[in-house]
Amino acid sequence: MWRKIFVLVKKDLLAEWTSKEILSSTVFFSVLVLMVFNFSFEMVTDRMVAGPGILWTTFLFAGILGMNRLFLTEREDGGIEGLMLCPIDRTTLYIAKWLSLLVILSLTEIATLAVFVVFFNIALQGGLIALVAVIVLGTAGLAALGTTFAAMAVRTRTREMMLPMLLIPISVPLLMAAVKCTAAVLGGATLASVGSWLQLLIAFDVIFIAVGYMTFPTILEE
Amino acid sequence: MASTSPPDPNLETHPSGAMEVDSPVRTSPSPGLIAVAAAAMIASLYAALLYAPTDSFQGNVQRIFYTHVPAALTMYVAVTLIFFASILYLQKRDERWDEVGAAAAEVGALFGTVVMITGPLWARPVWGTWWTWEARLTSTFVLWLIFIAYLMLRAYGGSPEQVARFCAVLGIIGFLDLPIIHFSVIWWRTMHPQPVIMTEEGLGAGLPGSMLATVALGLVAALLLFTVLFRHRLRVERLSRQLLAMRRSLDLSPGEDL
Amino acid sequence: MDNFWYLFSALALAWAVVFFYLVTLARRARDLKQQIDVVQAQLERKND
Repeated sequence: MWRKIFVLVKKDLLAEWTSKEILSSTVFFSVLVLMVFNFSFEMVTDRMVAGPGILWTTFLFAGILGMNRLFLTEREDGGIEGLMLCPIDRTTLYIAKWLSLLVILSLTEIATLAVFVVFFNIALQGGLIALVAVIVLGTAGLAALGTTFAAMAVRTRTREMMLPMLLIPISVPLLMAAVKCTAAVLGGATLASVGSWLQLLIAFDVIFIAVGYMTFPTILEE
Repeated sequence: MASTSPPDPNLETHPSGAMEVDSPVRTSPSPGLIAVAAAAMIASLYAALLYAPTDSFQGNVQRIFYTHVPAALTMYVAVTLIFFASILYLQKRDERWDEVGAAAAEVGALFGTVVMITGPLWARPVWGTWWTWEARLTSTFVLWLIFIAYLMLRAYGGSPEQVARFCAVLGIIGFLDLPIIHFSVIWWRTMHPQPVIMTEEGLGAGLPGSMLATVALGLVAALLLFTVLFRHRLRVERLSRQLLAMRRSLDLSPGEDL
Repeated sequence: MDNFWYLFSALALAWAVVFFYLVTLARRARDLKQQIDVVQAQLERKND
């Protein structure tokens, strides 16, 4: 199973490496969103108040763009249909798609974070590892729901319009937890001080990876 | 859905009759149920406006409570119903469970709308603001948004069979999200206390018996109303699916379906 | 009594929404039945 997952993820990432279609749009979009936020919140003297929220809103919006793109390309090229003919379990396909999405979103977020630090004049003292941990945990949950909902959305009549409507309400608790943890880390506090939020983040990830894993075959039925 | 044979012409002369015999839930509310629901609603309105004592602090506006809280609880009943119908649909692939989900979602969203209308109109005179991101308000609002998303997916999801599968998945995810939303909004609040007085907090504990009875009556009335609307909506769903099936069999060339 | 209007508008709106939904449901059921009758007639003509 893991070998198959590795091959599938490699296929996705190689395709992305040659075209750079998703990353170029998500990164550019992130810069645009951060710029708009910068104008909108110019009056806020303490950037740390709005900072974590702005960061995660940008992650979410750019993420939605990337999720749609990843699944639309599959749909347009008939990639998924091709894969369905191969002897691959559809639950395996879920894990592979989730991992591909996780990598693509993480790369987008690294670029976003760099721009964010410059634009918002953030001092990343010490807590970089904690920050990375929070971002990975948050992104894992977003990608778990994103894989499920984007696979659905591209098959609906409204296509990519459907994804934000499904994803945003469901991920409200994830965003709250991620913003709280990020605020703590950027404010110089330890992750232990937001332990309950961290637990919530992990619970969210576990629950929705499990549900996504179990329901993915249902979504792919034709 | 795909394997449904063309409807038997003999059964079609009674458009609804044929399909209701084997339904897991009764459709079309009976006149008796409608009468009981109407009586309960009138009694509940009477109790809320005239029987329950006027709240000494909030005044008459507190009487919104007797509509607002039962409507919110009914919304949670609806989402639970959708959850079980979704699981049963995915297990059994019986179209009728999808119909239950469709009906419960629309009527549940209606109750959610009532909650969203009555909430701000109560908050404004009591808390001095139309809206506050208080824990229960926030979680109810997010649930209402999930209902709307579910209805959007139903409306634009594609083929009926695909809509059934996708909505079942969303029904399960939405329900599992509720406890997480609940905890997150409570913690969010406790770390950012609002400067408004949460008078609603004190209502549960020291509620006088007459107020408690009025709430209970309101809940019974809301659940009865839900049942009536739900069955009515279920019947509309059956009719629309029957029409779809008939149109499909009409489109087949004459030689093939006979 | 100064907040009576809030109570009145909340209850009036809530009942209006429910009533409006009931009317919509009844109209949908009626329209569907009419269309079913039309298709029914077409089906019978085709089968004869």
